[in-house]
Amino acid sequence: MAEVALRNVTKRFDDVEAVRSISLDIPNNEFVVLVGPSGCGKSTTLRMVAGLEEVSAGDIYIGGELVNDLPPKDRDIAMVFQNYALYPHMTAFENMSFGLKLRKFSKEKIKKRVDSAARILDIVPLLDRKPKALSGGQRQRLAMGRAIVRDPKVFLFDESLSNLDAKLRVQMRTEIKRVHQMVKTTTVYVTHDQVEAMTLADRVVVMNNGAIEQIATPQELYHNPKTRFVAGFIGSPAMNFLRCRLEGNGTGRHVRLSDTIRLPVPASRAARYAALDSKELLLGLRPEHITEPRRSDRDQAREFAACTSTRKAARCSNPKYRELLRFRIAAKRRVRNP
Amino acid sequence: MSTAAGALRRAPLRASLSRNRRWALITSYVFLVIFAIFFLVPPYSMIVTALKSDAEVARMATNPWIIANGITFDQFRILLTQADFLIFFKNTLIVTLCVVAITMVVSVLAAFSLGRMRFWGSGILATGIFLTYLVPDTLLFIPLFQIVKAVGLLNSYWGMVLVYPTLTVPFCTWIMIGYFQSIPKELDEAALIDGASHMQMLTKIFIPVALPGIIAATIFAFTVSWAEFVYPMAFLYSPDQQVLTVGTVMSLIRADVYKWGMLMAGALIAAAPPLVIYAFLMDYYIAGLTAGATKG
Ligand SMILES: Nc1ncnc2c1ncn2[C@@H]1O[C@H](COP(=O)(O)OP(=O)(O)O)[C@@H](O)[C@H]1O
Ligand SMILES: [Mg+2]
Repeated sequence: MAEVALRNVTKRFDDVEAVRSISLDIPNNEFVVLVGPSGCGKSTTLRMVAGLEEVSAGDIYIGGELVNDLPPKDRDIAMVFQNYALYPHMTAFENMSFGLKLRKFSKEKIKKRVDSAARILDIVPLLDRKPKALSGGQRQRLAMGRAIVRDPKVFLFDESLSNLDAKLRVQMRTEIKRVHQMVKTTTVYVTHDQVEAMTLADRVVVMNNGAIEQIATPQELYHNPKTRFVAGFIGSPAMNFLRCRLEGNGTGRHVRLSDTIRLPVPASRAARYAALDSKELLLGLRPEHITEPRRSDRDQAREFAACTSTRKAARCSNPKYRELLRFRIAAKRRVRNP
Repeated sequence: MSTAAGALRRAPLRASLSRNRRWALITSYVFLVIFAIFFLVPPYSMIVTALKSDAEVARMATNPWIIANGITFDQFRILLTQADFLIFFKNTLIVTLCVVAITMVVSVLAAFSLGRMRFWGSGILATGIFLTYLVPDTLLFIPLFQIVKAVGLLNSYWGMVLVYPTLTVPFCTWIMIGYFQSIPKELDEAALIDGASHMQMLTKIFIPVALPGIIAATIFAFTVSWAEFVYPMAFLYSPDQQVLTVGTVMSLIRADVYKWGMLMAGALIAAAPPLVIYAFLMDYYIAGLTAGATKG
């Protein structure tokens, strides 16, 4: 139960700058997801909050207290690791009570806490088993149980679901959300999976190359990406990028894609883009926004309908779509994602 | 239809697989038997000789591989009533237990800090420790003689407690470093977050998790110090300080008179404790040797 704040936090490993001066405010009880491609510095950021890595520069506050020089055990945080990091020689009960025992809780209090955490996670019958005798999902629950018995100020998750198969992952996602609603605690969750980020987060922090690209709610992120990277990263199948030119005339503005294709800019935005008239721009077009032509757009629609290839959507992570269509607008007009 | 065809096509493959397997089994059994005979002949000869009377051993005419004149426990009886042998045994026991204790404390602590707490030069230090293991005791005893003499432990089995760890600590440390490194890093991070100090991390997480490795290292240290020959040979000379290995040989070989029966009986008794230890810890030992091969 505390807010977390990062102020210009930087982490250098020798000559690699893994995290570049990031600032982030997480209010009490918020569920924040750090998302970004592999190697962008998410884990490093999380580990600095946990105290497992020292910051190279900048400050980290937990509950208003500067924790830069506090060891992990004094930060009152709990972390769930990707490989769970359960103590293999201890039973589930001992795993969960280890932290409490070290903090000199009384036997009755430990029992009470473990029992209530186990009930929340539905692992009461498993308490005297060792991790080896648990399934992947059960280990995941136990790892979460070990975190919540401590009743910490902050939960930290690092790719905690990526060891599970797809079905279990979806199930555990809801589980995590449910637990967060029961045990209201500030949560920082790291993942490279944008679907996980979009479904879990109150707010998403998109990172790239050690820096924050955008901090926003999932809705906001999807509809108003601030940078080209965010636009391309969020959404599956990914957004299309098309070279275009903005053309202004008396009545309104158009985005010209080719000699024959132009799309009108909605009147509500036309004025905002005035400064960009006759500039070369990139148009971001989400695949799901391409629809059957309406009657009024028939002429242009014919151009689009020159479908050049169809591909089974097997590689597309969104099960809503069955096939990917590829359109050619004009030679060399298509822009690859970054 | 198609499945039938599939089965047909697969049938010869399965047959050749099982033929392959049979040959592999036959070959491995042949070699197993050869090696078993090879390794079991010396202990067999020891047992047979130890159970014979002196008279029979001395008689050249009899077959050395069988006991013709009946089993006798005289060799054991004489050996065990002879005061010297029991003193040797006691000395060896004291030395070995001390050495094992010292070795395990030193090497577990060393391995934990070298393998787990990154600090400047820890990698080089770890390699250096292993390199000292490569120096044979047959070379090391010369400088060690000076040291043992300087601390006044020449001709005292406490000197052995001082020098044996030079043989056991490097290898045990090396085993333990490997073992500790195979424990995922997240485990100590989890313990750190749970509030464990480095010492608690060692005693509550690392030692229990690495128990098979620790047992393997213990067996190694036990075997080495139980069987060490060069150092007691060089540093001990009075019977009341002597250990089993050298003591047995010294007291039972007088000039060119070999008391074969008693030598073998002594060797058998001397070999018993390591055997007992192995028997108890074998499962752990094997688990320790194959550690890291699979993830538990
Ligand atoms: N202990 C380390 N030593 C050196 N470089 C590191 C270390 N940890 C991470 N890095 C580097 O920092 C960058 C960010 O890593 P990380 O935070 O693990 O990325 P992510 O979790 O987003 O995939 C990577 O380029 C990685 O190689
Ligand atoms: Mg990571």
